[in-house]
Amino acid sequence: MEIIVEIIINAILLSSMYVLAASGFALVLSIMGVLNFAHGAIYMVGGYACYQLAIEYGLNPWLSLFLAAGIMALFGLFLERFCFRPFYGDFFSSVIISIALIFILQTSINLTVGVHVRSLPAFVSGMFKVGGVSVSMERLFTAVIGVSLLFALTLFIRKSKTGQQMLAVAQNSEGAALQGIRIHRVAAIAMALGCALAAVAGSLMGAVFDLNTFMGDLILVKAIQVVILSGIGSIGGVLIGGLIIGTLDSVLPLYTTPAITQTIGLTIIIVLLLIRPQGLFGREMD
Amino acid sequence: MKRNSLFKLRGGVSLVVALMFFLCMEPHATAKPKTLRIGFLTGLTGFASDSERVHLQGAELARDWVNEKGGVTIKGEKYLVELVPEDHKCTADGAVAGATKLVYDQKVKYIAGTIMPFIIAAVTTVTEPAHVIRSVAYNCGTPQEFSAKTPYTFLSQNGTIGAIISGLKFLKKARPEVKTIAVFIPDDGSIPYLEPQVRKWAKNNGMEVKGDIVGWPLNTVDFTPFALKAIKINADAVAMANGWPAMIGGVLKALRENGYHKPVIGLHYSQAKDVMEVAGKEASDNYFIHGINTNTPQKTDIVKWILDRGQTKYGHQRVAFFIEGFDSVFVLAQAIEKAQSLDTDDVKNAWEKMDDINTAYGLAHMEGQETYGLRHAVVGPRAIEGLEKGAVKSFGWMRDIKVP
Repeated sequence: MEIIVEIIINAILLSSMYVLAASGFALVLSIMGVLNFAHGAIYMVGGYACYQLAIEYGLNPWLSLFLAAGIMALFGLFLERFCFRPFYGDFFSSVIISIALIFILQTSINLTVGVHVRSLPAFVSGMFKVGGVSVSMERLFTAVIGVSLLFALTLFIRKSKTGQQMLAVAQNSEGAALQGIRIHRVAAIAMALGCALAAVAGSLMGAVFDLNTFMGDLILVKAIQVVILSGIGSIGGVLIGGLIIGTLDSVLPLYTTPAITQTIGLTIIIVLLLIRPQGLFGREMD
Repeated sequence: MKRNSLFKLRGGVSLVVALMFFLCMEPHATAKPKTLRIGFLTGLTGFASDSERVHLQGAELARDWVNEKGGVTIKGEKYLVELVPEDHKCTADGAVAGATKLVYDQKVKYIAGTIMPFIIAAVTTVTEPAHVIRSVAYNCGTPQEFSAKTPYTFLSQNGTIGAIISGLKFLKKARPEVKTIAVFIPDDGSIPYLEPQVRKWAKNNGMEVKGDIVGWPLNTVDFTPFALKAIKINADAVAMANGWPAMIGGVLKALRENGYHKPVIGLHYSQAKDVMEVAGKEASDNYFIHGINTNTPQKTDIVKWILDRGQTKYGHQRVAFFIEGFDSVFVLAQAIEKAQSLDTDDVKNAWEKMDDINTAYGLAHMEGQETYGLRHAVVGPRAIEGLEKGAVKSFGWMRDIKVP
């Protein structure tokens, strides 16, 4: 019984982490229409930035987290202005740019700090015990942050003026521009937010797991799975997509081999796409 | 005036004669050592490059060590080692491309490095038909990497099977109460070959492998589900064969967070400090691994030199990874010198006939006939370190390791 409770708790925690990692990716894809494959690399650089600030410069870990998010938000503005804006509306060029960014970011980090094994210290330490089941506070905290940020992001998009502009751009960028919305400004905000979210995810998960140059590759695959499952254009749907993928990844390894686990997860996505090409809550893209 | 011209003429003739004499003498006076080119294939990019780049640094240290001692002497001629590094990108196709470039473009006849089973197996498809000698830096026990069908491939260290043998022997000595073990192995194709070895050597040490092997994919993000699976087995100890520090640390952390506080041992080679970096101090207890650090007693002179030079040259002391790269070049250089020939068939034959060979860890022996189908494995002593209450501790050396 105890192990079943632990499995359920772990499924929820892992799902929330996937949600945290996928929300920035979903935002950029939904608003800008950019399939940003560099999201994983940005997540990794965000984690390293937090490490640098907290460990090398001795700053408070919380302050480091906020600063890392800020730095990556600025980096997002740079990316939007100089890497993605010149190719606005050109899906394939933006994909190639994002793939190039992966190599640039990974190689840069690998050459500068890559040979050392690193992990961020826990933002919250200790264990949370209920009955006979114990949960790491670090994981619990990361899960809470992940879900909270997703709700905050959803609220921001639905309730704020900028969020409404984002929705308008996402639905029809030319129509939005004709209404006086500055689409490049909206895209820049979306990209900055997406990169900041990636940095928060990279920092928190760099504490739960570890920091390495290629940590973003693994999480990118999960983020893509979550976004495809939840549906492009649906930020809120990421929660359900994350829950499904996280539960599969938590439960299946206990009862079957790793290869079958991965096959089942991907088969579910393929079947779903055959039945519902736009994903669970998504809209169809042009 | 005439006298002056005669003086100039004599001077010119003398100069020409002196120059000719100098030119004739030059090759003998400044006889340059020849170059022995050794390819080094490693992951400079790709998912394991953080560790594999340290292998290249270790190989460079071996080059320096050999060259500073005068190089390799073949029939009285000195050869200085020149490394030709190539990136295998941590993918099988990258490994084939890298090996092809080394063998056919760079024309190297010896290749050191590579540790992952699918990389080693991929490179074999290029090097074996070309009769290129390989000194691989690790081995996971699959016949595709290393068997009677790969006569030009040598293993420069104990490999996973050597670590299984010495690790379980150590566990029996350090924790005699352990009678059952749960075993983690990466799902990289090596499980079917390593499982019988673990079961056999556990039995030889009075232990039993309980339940199925806990396989985990190399692209695992969270090790908690696998830790829960191992905990469900309810064994007296957990043994992990292979994995990088980030992965091992992830498993150790997940085991401890989920209430498993019994002994955990790594049946491979790494550094406890790196594992603790990922697992965190709270989880770092009752853990052992084949590893070496600055506080390990009775370090060899080569290990001390590697620690010093590694710190000076590269600014770190990830000595276990340095040595994997170091030994793959160092033992190869010794085999070439033993052969007294640069011909790869001569080197292969000479290496096969060697009984003893030096490694950074100390004197090793050529073994592995029964296990691998050829006597191509360099098997030597290993230090054990561990984690106790959040601190790295040395547990001495395992010296009588034999891979049949």
